[in-house]
Amino acid sequence: MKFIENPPQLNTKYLFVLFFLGFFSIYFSSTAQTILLQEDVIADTMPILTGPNMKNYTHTYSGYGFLLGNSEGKGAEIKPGISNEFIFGVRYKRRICNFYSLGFNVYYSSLNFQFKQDSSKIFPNPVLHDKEKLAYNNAGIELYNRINFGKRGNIIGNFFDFGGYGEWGFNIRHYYRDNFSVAIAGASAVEVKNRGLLYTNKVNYGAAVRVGINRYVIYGKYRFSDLFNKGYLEKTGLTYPELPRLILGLEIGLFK
Amino acid sequence: MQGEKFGGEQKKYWVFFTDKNGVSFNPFEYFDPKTIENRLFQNIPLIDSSDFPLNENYVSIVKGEVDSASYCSRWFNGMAVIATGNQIEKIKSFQFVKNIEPMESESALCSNNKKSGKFFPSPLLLPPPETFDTALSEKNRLLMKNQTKRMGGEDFEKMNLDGKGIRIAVFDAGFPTVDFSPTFEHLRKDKRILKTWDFVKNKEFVYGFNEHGTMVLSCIAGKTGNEKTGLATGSEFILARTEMAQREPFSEEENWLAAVEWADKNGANIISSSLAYTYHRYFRKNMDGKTSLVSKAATMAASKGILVVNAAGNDGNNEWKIIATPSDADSVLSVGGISPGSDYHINFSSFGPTSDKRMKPNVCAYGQVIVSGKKGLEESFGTSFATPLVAGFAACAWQKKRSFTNMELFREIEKSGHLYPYFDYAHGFGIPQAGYFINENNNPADSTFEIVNEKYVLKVLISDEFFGDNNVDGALDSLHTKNNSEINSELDNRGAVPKTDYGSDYLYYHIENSEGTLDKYFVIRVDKKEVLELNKDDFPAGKKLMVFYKGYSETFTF
Repeated sequence: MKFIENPPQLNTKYLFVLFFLGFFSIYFSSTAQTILLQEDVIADTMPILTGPNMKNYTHTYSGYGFLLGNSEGKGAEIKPGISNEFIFGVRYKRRICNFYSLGFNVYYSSLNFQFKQDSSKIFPNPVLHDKEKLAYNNAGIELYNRINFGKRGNIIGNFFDFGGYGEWGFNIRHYYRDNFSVAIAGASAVEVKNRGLLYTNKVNYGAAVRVGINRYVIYGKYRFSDLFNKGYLEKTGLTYPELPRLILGLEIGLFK
Repeated sequence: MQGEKFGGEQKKYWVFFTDKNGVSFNPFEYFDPKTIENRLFQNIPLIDSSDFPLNENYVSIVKGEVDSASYCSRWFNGMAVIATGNQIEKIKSFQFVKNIEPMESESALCSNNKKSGKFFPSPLLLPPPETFDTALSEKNRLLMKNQTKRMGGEDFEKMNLDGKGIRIAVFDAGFPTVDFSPTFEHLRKDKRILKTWDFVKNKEFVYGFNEHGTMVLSCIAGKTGNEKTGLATGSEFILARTEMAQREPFSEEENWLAAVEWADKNGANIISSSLAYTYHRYFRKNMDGKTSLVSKAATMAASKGILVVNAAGNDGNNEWKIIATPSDADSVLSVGGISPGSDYHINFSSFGPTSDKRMKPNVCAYGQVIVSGKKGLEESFGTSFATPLVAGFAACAWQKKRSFTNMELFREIEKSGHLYPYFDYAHGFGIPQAGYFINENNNPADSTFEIVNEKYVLKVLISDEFFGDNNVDGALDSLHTKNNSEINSELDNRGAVPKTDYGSDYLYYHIENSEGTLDKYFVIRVDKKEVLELNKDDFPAGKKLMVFYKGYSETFTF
């Protein structure tokens, strides 16, 4: 015995969808080209209006420098090599002519003065620690002039920059660490961060120079301002020696 | 001028003089006999003021003012000096000084192979010849065969055309192992490396330093066993080291100019140079064939009867994109790169046109090749290697058509291109074909498609007998492209390249504006007979469509 079933009912909506899908797939397969190479000459030959040697150029950069020299007096000797600065910033350059440009940098810098611990130490007090530093988180701006050397195309080229900078220390802290030979309260060391330091100036300024070849740059910064607040020192009778003013480092332009 | 603004800093300058008054010149003493022969052959005057030496008085006065002077250019009546700004100010005041230009440049060798950028300091460190590695994979052996075959090299071979009697100057960054590599044994045996000069160090020895030149020379005249990597195995050579591949900022342009004059003096018929100056010194707008010193020098060399073959550059896939100088010069045969796998433009090959909208490159050849390096045969990439392939081709063509002047040969090489008369700014006129020079009767190919002009659209319909693989064999026999399908079939069958398209199944088309320059160009695969449909409203009156397919091209004017 054989049952005859009713044929399935086709929904007209599905029929429409199937019809259009079929139509479009056939249409596109019959008209589409396989383009292997396509060049728009007008676009290809447009003058390049952006780039390192065009009127306006902005790029990011990063740098690492070392504090050089000694403090201006005894009592706050820094450890060379690990007293350093890290910079990350954005540099804008306005080309005036092929060999002269003006520009500015906006940057963040992390500046660390690591102090030697010896009997002559007076900053910020004579107490000796295993590790001690004065650390700045700065927001900075620098205005600079750029002299380029040599004829060049759309590249940064060889240059010498000179200008002035200002920095605002939005987070300045005095930090020290003491390791315990015997654990105290279950701890082997204590770290202390002092903020809101009354003896430091929040704003500093100085001169900056750079010598570079394309992305590779040697930079130097010399701080004119004093790190320590004179008024506060006079009021309290403290005599902190000024910390080293010179930074020398390497920078890399982060661009193609 | 900018140097004088900055005190006592020493820089390099060109000092150009106003005249050559009181100077005498004997071409028979100065030139190699081959130069005399070349010039007489091409009706180029033997005595031209540009060949005269510089006025010795002028030279000695300037020398007395500067710290050092290096090269004197007869052609440009100038000398290269190292001087301070103050010294230059003084030199400027001399009446015989026409003008002064600061010199500074960085060039790039047009090789995409990082290995070829290796510094090779001393021949003492080179591997002994017995370690020369000739082993190649099947794929690479086929590639080596096809890099000359794609130009119809076998046709030259059948006619015993190997560039004999043609002198080729090769400018590069060094030629290590050329003095003992088995690839160049035939050249050494017949003493066909006639002269060498290192313009960087000013001495004769060039068989050290960067191996790029060795690779380039192998693409002109290399022969390993019975297998050729270049076509001009019978030519004579003069080798000049003009580049320091590690970028030398001052002297390369000066070296190149000096080498061109040296090549002319020593009877070169062809110069093969894989040098390219781009954004380090120039802007795109400077790629007009008139701005750079090297393009002026190349143009001058062409006027002296030398065919200058230069790499288009390897900037096709970066922001610069367009050709480099001196390939921008009108009289330089600029060579672009083709991918052996696809048989059309290789992605890094620089595009034309020049900034003044002239067609470049002029022709193209494989940009992926097998070269002979310092250690053996290896694969390498770059228009650096397409260039010597074409230089070798040109030598064979010139041997066959010895009555041609350099510029006649230039035009004929263009005409031999597999796309000719079609052109675009990626391929020029395409890959030169030896058959064009061998066959006296180069009949136009049969029509392979039809342009159908309908009311609103323009259609390109492939003719029945030229559509699909089944008709390729017989139909293509008379075409320049006849080897293409075979080559790619071979490559494809052996798995040398991904299973893609056969070059002969590509349709090329461009849109030309009323000024005679291209607006757009395309390469498309022919998947169906009605291969192209263009809306006529998109093209104003006067624009031209040119289509190329399997050796046949046709133009339609809107």
